Amino acid sequence: MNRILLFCSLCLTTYLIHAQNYSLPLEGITKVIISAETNIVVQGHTKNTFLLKESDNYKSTNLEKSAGFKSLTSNGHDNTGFGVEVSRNGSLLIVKGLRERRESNLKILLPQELNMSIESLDHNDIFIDNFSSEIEAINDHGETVISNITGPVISENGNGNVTIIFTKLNQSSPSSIVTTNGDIDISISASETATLFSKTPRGDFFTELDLDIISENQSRAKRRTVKGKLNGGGIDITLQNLKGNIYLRKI
Amino acid sequence: MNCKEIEQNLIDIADHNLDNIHNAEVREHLEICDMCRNSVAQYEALFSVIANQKMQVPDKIISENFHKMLEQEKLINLPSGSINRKKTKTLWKPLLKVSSLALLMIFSYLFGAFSNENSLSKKHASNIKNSSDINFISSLMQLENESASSRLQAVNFMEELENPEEEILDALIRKMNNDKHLNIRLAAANALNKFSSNELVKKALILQLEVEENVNMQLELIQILVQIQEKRAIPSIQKLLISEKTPHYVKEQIGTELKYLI
Repeated sequence: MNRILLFCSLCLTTYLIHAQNYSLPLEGITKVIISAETNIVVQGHTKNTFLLKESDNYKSTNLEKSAGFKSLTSNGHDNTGFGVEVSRNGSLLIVKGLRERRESNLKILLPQELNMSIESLDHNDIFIDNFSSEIEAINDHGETVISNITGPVISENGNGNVTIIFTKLNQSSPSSIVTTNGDIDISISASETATLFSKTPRGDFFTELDLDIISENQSRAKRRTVKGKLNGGGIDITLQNLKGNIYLRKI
Repeated sequence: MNCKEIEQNLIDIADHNLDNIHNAEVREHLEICDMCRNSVAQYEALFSVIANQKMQVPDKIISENFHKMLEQEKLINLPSGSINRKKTKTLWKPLLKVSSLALLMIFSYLFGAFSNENSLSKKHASNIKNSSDINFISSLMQLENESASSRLQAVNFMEELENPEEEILDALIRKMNNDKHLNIRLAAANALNKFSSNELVKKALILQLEVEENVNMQLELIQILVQIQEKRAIPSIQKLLISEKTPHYVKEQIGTELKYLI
């Protein structure tokens, strides 16, 4: 009888551990800084919490055996049970993915208004969706897809495409998207106001928006630079691509 | 001492009002925390500007009119011609209150102006062509902001200045060389392009090209240096052309640029 009870309690403990999400209230946090060697997926939600859902993320299968132990790697200390280290530094929340890129995505839910800085440390992709805050994204090798946002966005890609869909355009802070070897694909509502600067030394600039091109004294080096106003001009958006093309679409 | 305690005591730290024990604790923390060190430096710079503000001397006519008005007020309010000590005291108190309020408003305005990101908008910049002290210190503070977009806004603002002081150029050079984001580094290089007739800027562009590893930055610097016909950059450009690290497509672009310099 005792053995049956022990077995049942073990099963229950295992189930409870597996069913647990990692949630952290974000009072006093103004920015989240995330870095990982896996694909990073960040989605906005309406709660003021940092959330790692058990259903979305890889979780260690040895939790019952390691209960009460500290999980250590050379990169840091897994204090979430999801192979992620979370720590505070003043008003910043530092989130470090400790797993390697062959493993599943790191998916994080954050408040829609919280500023963030995301860095992919290996050949992986970054997906960010549903935010009205400032977004910084650095990706050396891989795709960066940022959708349903208002900006500002500061995005830098080495090798890989950048796709950004602005649902609305924040008019108080400028955006800048820079890539070395890939395409930049931006979608903006045709009714928005913006001042766009594009530079494509070895690529082309395509747009379906009606831009008023600002004619400046064009030196030879600036021939592949376009400055244009959308609906009379507004917040600055800089698009710079060394090798690929720039596409500016309307939504 | 931790970051929160530093934040709560920023004004006392920057104003050197702490006792030796607390001061030692603060210095110990500042040695290991870049963010707090920057915050303290910004406040120290702010206090320095406030301390160095020149006293505004009113125009002679305004001064005379003010004194006339004051005499008239005295005649209206003091018909008896005699003031007892008690009455002086009651007049002094409201004056003190008003002065304190005015001082508080001035300080609030200054702090507000420095922390307001929107004050750095280009529209504003186009109206103010000279780097006044407040704009100057405000821009320098924004350049160290945690937000990359705010730093970009500060760089864009500085680019609009007509005759930036050396401190502004130094700050732009630091951003071009060291900012974490390539976007800000490129924007700073682009801003410096406007001031590339300055020898300090020329030297900074040449020196950075010698050590630059990012291909986007290499090309940006080369284009600026070719545009200003800076022949001192030729050895660095040629070095990149033969380097195995330089991608083929970048070499092609560099080769094209170099033709216009030799």
